Amino acid sequence: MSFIDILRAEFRLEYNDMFRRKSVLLMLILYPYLFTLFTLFIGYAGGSPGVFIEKFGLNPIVYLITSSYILMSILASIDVLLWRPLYDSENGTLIYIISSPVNRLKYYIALPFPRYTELILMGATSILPVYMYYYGLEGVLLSLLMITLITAGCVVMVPFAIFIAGVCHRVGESWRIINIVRPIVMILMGVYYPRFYIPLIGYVIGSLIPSSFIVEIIQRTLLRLESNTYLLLAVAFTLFFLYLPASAWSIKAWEAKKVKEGVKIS
Amino acid sequence: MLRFLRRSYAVFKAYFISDFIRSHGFIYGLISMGLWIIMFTIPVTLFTPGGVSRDEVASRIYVGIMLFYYFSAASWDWAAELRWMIMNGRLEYYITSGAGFAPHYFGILPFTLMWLCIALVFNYALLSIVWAPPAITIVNSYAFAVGFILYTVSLIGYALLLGSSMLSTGSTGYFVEFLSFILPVATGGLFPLKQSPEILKTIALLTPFSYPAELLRYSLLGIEPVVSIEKTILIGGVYGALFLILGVIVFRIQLRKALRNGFPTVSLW
Amino acid sequence: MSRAIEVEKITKTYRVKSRRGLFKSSVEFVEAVKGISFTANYGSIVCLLGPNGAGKTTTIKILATLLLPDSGSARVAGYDVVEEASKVRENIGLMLTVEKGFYGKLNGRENLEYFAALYGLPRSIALKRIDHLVKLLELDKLGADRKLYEEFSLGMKARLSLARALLKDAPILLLDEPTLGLDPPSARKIRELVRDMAHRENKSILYTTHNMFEAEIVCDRILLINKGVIVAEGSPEELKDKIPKLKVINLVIKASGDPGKPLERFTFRKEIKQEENSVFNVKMYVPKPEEVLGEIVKALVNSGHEVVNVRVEEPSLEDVFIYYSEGSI
Repeated sequence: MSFIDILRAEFRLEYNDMFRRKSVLLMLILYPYLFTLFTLFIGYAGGSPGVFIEKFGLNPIVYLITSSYILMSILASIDVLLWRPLYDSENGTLIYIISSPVNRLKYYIALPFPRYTELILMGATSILPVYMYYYGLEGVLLSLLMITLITAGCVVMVPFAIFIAGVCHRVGESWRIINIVRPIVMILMGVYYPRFYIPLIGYVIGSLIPSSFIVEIIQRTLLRLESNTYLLLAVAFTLFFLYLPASAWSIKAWEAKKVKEGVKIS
Repeated sequence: MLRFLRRSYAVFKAYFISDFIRSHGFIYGLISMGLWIIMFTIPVTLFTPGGVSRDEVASRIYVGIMLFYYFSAASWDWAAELRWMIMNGRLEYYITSGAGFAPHYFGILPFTLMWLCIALVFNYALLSIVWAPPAITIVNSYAFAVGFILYTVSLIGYALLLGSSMLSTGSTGYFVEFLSFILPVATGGLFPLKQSPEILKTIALLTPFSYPAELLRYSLLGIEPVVSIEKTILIGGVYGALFLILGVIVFRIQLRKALRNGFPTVSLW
Repeated sequence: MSRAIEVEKITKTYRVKSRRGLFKSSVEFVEAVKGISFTANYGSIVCLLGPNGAGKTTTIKILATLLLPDSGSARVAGYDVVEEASKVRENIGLMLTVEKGFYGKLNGRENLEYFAALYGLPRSIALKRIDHLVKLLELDKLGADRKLYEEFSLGMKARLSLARALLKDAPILLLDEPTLGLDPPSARKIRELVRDMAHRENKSILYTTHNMFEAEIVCDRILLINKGVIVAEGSPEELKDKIPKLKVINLVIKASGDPGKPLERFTFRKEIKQEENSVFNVKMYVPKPEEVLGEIVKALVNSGHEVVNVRVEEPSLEDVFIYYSEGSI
């Protein structure tokens, strides 16, 4: 089964699911705004948007909508990898996936592709209008750059997410572990609070996460701070390739464990 | 009355053993939620001017977290439990038991309060590590008690409204998550209304939650509500009671609708 | 004595959304139950027998007060299912889907204690009753009273589900496909218990199934239901007697070629099934087998087929069902 065949099947699955559950589509559009409002009003608890502008020379809404878009995009693309084995298990489709001859790594790499198209849509409905409002035409170009960077950020996360999924699903009630791993990854990536402001130990551990470098590029661009963009991109993509064998091993080991225990329907 | 208490106790016991003792969902959920809250709340420091005490900022965040947690419990424990009951095939047996839904809510409430206490201790520790120890004292115990009771009453009403939509449509998890984020924001749960923009003040005062939330903030932080305390108690009390009655009425209507059309199938998310 | 269950012309229509493609959807109305009427007495087992989608579960749910009928009336233990639902609930024991309906993290006994409390049983009575049911259904021997429900096999789940239905010692039991998916020993155990409940404890049991064999051995009276309508009712023998007097000629043939060709001139209903490579099983439904059997065998032998075995049988309940649902056998 070629990679294109797998892609075609996954696109069909994802789009059928999304268009037949309009609430999912709606949430994709609304969530970046929801999280922006949420964090903005928490900001009111401690201070005011005026202070933010004074400190960083940037409207907090621009910063927060970008952070929310990063959060939603990365979650959307890694969730499909983290939750899929569980989803298949619940549905009773896992037995058919495991007994199929499809190349596992190809299969899991193909999984998030439909989500990339959705996050482009999400970018067009979240950061694009906000950037246009604040920056005019320059905002359009800036938002296109951000969407490209975030898409790259999602792509480089794939092997890392596969690796984590394979490790987590080896334990019972893995979904509880994943629910802890997800926020830790987001905090260490510096989605809302830039990682270049957190203590060194956090920065070092966060550097194990491929897309943290791309998030850093985005934040430094917005805050008009100096950054070695090409170096950070190179590190991100190097990590992508370094995680590939680990991800292949992880999925294989998880599957072997499942087959040994007997594949059940949850 | 004895029967009602026995039934409520049975619900509490089943929930406690199942979710706390045997599945550790309690602990994992606590850790997960604590981490998400930290991710969303730490950026407040980007809005804080220099010279403001860290303790004070931490206190305000902490009270916001407390109100948010209680709100989330009403969404995810009280209302969303009905989704779990549908998914696990227990709802139909619950209905045919003739127990009614009051024992269900009454039985889950103590578990929620227990969870809330432990979650607040956990978040106190987390906030202390990440930012600063919140300086919390009960400035006015009467306002605290009244605020807590009124908040509980409003949240039960809200849980009944949300639960009724679960029964009749099997609302998706996305919808519930959306509500559980937007409503605390819109109802002034996260920050003092005195400091918020006019439009938000107006919206918040239209909901029953903001009155008890203001009372609780006053009792713990000493921040005066936008409306006088006496008025806050009066309006909050009347509004909360009406909201609860509305919740009961809508729940009964939706239950009847579900009995007419059949209960929905729900998915995991 | 008053009837346990009285159903008078109940109807139920579902509104179903169907989706075509990504964006198109339409609403269809599915008539699940179309004006069915029946009664059930205490001390008997009445079976609703029909294929999937016939309306069995819808009927049970209406009687269990889980679904409101669109029209018609139904009374259980003398109480109206719509107006007096709470009284109905006090008088029924219910068993729906076997594979769920309990707390996964509670063991069998804890689950029963939970439901006993919900049913309002005083604790001392509940504990005695649970002990009795655990022994009766052999849940203790299977370890089901101590194991967590999520670790149960399907047979254990079925037993626990029946135990819950019996907790209240209600006079009326509504059992929806209680042996679905069970292995033969578990299924037999459930059926024996059900028969005991009805005949020894004078309970009225409404039992739904799509298994003809099971209906025949368990039930005192069968209601054949298809597409929301009761097409026939009676005891298994009465139902078989009702259909035109047909017997079944059952032939096992070693065929060289198509065994159906020489039989084409016989216009009776036939079923031809290939068993192995060249071995076929042929069933023919004929009014007077003695008149045609010789000709049938001759036709087959003359075409080069070998007739290995011949039997003449009475029609089965399956044949009855096919007759009523398709209009002929």
